[in-house]
Amino acid sequence: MYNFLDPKLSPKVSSSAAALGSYEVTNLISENFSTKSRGFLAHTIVKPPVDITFELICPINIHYMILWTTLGTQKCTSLEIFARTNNKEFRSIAIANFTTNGIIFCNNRIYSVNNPPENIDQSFHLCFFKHTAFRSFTTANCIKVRILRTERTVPCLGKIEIWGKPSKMCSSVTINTIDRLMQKPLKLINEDTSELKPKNVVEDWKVPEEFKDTLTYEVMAIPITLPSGNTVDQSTLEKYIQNEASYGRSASDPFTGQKFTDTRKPVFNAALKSRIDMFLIKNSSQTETFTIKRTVGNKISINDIESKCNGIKRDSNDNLNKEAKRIKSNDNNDSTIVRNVKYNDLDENLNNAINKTINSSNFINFTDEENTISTSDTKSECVKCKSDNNLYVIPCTHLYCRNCLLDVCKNLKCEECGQEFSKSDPKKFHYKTN
Amino acid sequence: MAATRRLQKELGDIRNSGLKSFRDIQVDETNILTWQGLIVPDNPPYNKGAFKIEINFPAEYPFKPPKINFKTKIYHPNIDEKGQVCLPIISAENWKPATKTDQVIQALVALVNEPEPEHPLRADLAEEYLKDKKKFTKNAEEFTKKHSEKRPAD
Repeated sequence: MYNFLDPKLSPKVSSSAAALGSYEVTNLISENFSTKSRGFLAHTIVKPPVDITFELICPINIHYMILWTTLGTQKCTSLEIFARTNNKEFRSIAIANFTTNGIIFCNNRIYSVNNPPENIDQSFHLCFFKHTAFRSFTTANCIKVRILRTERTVPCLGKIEIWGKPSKMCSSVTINTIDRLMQKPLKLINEDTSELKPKNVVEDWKVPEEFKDTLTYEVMAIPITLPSGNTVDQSTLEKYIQNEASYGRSASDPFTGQKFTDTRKPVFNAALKSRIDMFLIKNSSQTETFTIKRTVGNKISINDIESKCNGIKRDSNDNLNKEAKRIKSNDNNDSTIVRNVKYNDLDENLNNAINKTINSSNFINFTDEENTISTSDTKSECVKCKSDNNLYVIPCTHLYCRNCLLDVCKNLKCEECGQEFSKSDPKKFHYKTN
Repeated sequence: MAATRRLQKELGDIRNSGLKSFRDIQVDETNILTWQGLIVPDNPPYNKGAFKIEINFPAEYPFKPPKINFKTKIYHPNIDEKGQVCLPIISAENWKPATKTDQVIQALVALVNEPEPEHPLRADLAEEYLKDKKKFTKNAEEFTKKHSEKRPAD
């Protein structure tokens, strides 16, 4: 006895209603296990009745049929089975209303309520074929399942098996062919899995274009969006700006050549960065991702962004204030001169920017404990007059009280360590309670 | 190397674009920085032949421009006897990293088709081009027939 819907016996299936995407009626006879387990689900607009027609390899004598009539939360509650011999009309061979998750239709000459088919789910409703249709279900080569009613859901069929033997009409050649087909090893299934692997692992894997630097086509570590709308990696922009500086030109958009201004400047694209990181984490098994540049909370690169995005213009407000003023006083101030000066002092500016960022209250340090402002362990008092009232902290982490700070601000230089700071740097110091 | 990925992408794009005026692009697998290809001009007197060129990309590409050299001799005011060509968009100071190689090639093909005697590399040819166009055309045509490569069939 065989299940005549086994893919090895190449049955055919069709449905009278449109199916929901990837829940096609062909799933029911698929040789792929995962496809098969999806089952058939009609499109949401479809209402019963829905016919599903199975064409079998030869006329068969149906012993029993098992139908899993639930699929997720979808459920059918009434079914009618038709059978057809050769090209005659379909005849109804059974009809049933039930509330169980599945139903078994049996031939009452072989099985009875006390003697059901073996290896079946006991919870399924048991139903018998009509006596009057004996001829039809013993020589059926086409079987139609009609879904008559559903439990206020979409028509569905989770799985179906039709067990039986080739009908007595069949020649010995046909019977031999069926035996041979069923004894074939499960070669098809093996081929299928080997086909699946390369598909999922190699071919489908591709880095989305938007994650790549528009200039170098490398996956970006620190994506920076330019005023022109293009996104490049921070290292690319830096290299470009450096290159431009060697021709005495100021920082500009590599695509449009427009100079950066306070309102038109490159910005760090945090949203894209998180998407790139998410993608790389998800695909961390791919060898291609091993060579892609990453950020590992490196504080230098974070500060670099800061200096690139904000510092480019802002630093002229800090250290270069004097130079800029001097040049401005000449009245024929050429911005390129300002920037030439700027590039000479780039290192110094960068260091200042780093210190400034680290000491700012917004800065969260992920890398090491030492650099977090160590105000809690030092004595909280003014370095000059030892007062502990009304304290201010400057970038070098030294504390001054308000009176002393006013003195120090005349030189803008820390009296303890000699580090310079700007007027906007001192911050109110708050005690930490541990 | 920073240049590799971009060059791979550009090479793929150019090969897929089916550019008629630049074809037979050959790239050594071990060195993607050097490309060879065939320039097929449309305008007389150069439409009688094809010209082999070599494009050399610096390792810093796309931050530094590529260099173009003619491997086939050509009678042209903007290309000298050594095959050096003066193309403004790939001069070091004009170079923009956003410029694609296919734009460079299109500029080169345009220069071959329409010589610019105002900025010549070979002053003698430029003078001939300006003063006696007929003679220039005749000379260039003969030179092309004698020295240039065979044009591809299609």
